[in-house]
Amino acid sequence: MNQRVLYINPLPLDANPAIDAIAYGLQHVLHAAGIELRVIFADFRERGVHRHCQEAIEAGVAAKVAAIVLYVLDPSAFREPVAQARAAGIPVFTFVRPHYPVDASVIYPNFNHGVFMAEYLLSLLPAGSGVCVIGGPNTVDDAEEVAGLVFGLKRSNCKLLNDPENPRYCNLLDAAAGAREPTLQLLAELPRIDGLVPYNDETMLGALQCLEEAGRVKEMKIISRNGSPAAVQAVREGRIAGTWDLDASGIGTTLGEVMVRHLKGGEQFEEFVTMSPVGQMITLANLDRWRPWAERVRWTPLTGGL
Amino acid sequence: MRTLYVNVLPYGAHPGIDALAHGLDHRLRQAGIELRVLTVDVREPDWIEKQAQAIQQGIAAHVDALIVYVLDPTQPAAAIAAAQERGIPVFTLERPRYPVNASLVYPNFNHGVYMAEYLASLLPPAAQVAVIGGPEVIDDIELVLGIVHGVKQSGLTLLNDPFIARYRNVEDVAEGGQEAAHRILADFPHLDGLIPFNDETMLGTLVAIEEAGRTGEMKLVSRNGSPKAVEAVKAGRSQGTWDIDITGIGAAAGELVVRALIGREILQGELAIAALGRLITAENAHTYRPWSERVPHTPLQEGLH
Repeated sequence: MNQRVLYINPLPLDANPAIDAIAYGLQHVLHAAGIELRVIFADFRERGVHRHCQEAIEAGVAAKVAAIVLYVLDPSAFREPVAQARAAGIPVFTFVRPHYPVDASVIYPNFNHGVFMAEYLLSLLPAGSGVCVIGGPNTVDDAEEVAGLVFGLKRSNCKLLNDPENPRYCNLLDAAAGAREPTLQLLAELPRIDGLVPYNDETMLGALQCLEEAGRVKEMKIISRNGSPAAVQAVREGRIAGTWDLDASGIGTTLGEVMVRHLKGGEQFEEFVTMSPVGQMITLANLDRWRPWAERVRWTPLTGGL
Repeated sequence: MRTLYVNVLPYGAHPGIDALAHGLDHRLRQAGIELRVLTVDVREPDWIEKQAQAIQQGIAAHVDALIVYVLDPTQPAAAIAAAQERGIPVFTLERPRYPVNASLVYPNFNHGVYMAEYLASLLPPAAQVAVIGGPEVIDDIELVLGIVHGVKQSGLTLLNDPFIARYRNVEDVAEGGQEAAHRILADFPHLDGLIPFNDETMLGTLVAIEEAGRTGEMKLVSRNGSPKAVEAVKAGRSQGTWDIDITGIGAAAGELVVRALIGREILQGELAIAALGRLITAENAHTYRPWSERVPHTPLQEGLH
C-alpha cells in the first residue's frame, strides 16, 4: 500500500457500533484499492476534544497523508486546520457536510429516515395514541432525523407528547447511559405512553433498561435507528418493534468509493456531495433476510495512530 | 418487455416532469425495455380515479412492470394491489404507504437545508429572510421544512411561516408565485433574502419584486435547476438554483426496474434515494447542461396500443 489516509474517528471503538461499522466500511473500500487507513480516535464527549482533533489534522498534514477524513459533528468546527490541510495539497473528505469547503462529503438522508420510522410506528398504533421521542445531542444528522420524526408524527392521527428538541428529553451523551435521565423524565411526566422513539439504538438500549426497571416496558411500542446488532437482537426477542438499519458500513463504503475515485482515478472534487444508502426498517417480518454489518464488509482491525 | 409509466402531467406542462420521463425512458431503452406512458393530469379533480383506471389498463395489457408517481401516499392502493396480485411488479417515484416492489425517494429536506445554508453564506448573521412555500405535496413540504431548518440552524431570522396560506404558492405556477411574493413584499418592508421554494415560484417572484420597485434589495435562491432559473442566475437576478438532476431521478427509477426485470433481483419494499444534485451559481453556471442535453429526448410513446 503506497498511500496512507487518516480518519479522525469521533468515538473510541465499541462505544457506538454504527460509528465502528462506518470506519470498517471506509477501510474495506480503501484496502481493496491498495490504500492504507490510519485512525486517530478523538472522543467527542471528552473535554479538550477540539484541540485533540485539531492536533490530529496537523499531525496528518505533517505526516503528508494522502487524504484526511473527518466526521463532522459541528459543521463550523475545524475550518482553519482543514483549510491549511487543503492548502498543503491534502484533500479532505467528510462524513456529513461542514459549512466550509472540503473536497467531498457523504451525507445521510436523516430526515427521510425519521419520516419512515414514524410511519412504521404509526402503522402499529391505533388513532389517538400518544408517542414520545427522545432526541439526541443536536448534531447535524441527529437533528435532521428528529425533524423527520416530528414531521411524520405531527401529520398523523397520533399525538406527539413531548418536544424532542428540549434538552430535557434528549440523550446528550449519545451513549446508552445518557438515555436514563430523559426516559425517567418522560415516565415521571406521562402516566401512559403508547409509542416511544429513542433517536438511536444506543439510546433505545438505555431507555429499555429504565422501562424494564419501571415495569412499563410492555405499555409501548418502541422503534429506534441504526440497525445495530444489539437492537436487532431486541427486535428478535420482541422487546422492540423495529430498528432502522441505516447501512452504517454502506456509509463508510460510499465515502471510500469517492476517495478512491480521487486518489486512484485522479477525479477532482470540490465540495462534492453524495448520499449514503437509505437503508430499511428491520422488523420481525424481515429479520431472516437481514445481514449484520460485520458480514457486509471485511472487519480488518483498525490501525490506530500515524 | 413493456412497462407502463403513469405520468402526472401532460407533456409540455412542466419541463421537469417531462425530463424525468425522458430519463426513465432512456435508462429502460438502454436495457432493451420499452416504456409506454399513460398521462393523468393530476390538476383535475378526478385524477385519483383516472390513475387507478390507467393502472387497470396496464394490468389488462399484461405489462411487465408499472411505474407510478406517488402524490398521495395512500393512493391508488387498491389498483396497485390488484396489479401485484397478477404478478406485475410496481415501482414508485416517492414512497407510498402501501407495499410496492421498490421506491425512489428524494432528499428534499437536504436540498432545503443546503439552499438555506448557501443563502446564509451570502448574508450577514441574523439577516432577515422570508420563504414562499408550495402546495400540499410531500416533496414540496419536505423541501420547505428543510429550508426552514437550514434558515434557523444558519442563524438567519425567518420572518414568516411558509406553511400558512398567505405565504404559499399552492398553484405551483409562476403566477401563483408572483401573487405570494406580492403578499410577502407587502407584509415586510425590508428583506435581505427570499427563498421561493421552486424555480417557477422564483420566476413569478422576480416579476413581483420589479413591480414593487424593490429590485436589488434581496438575494434569492430557489430549487430545480430549470433552464429559465439558470438564465436568471447568469443575469444576476437570482443567486442560485438547486439543480435536482431531474433526468437522473428518472434514470434512478429506471435502474430499479432494470434490476428487477433484467437482473432478476427480488425487490420487496426496496428504497433507493435520488442523487443530491448541486447548486448552480454565477460561478459554476457555465458548467450547467440543460436537461434536454443530458439524455436523448426521444418522443415518449403515449398509450398501450
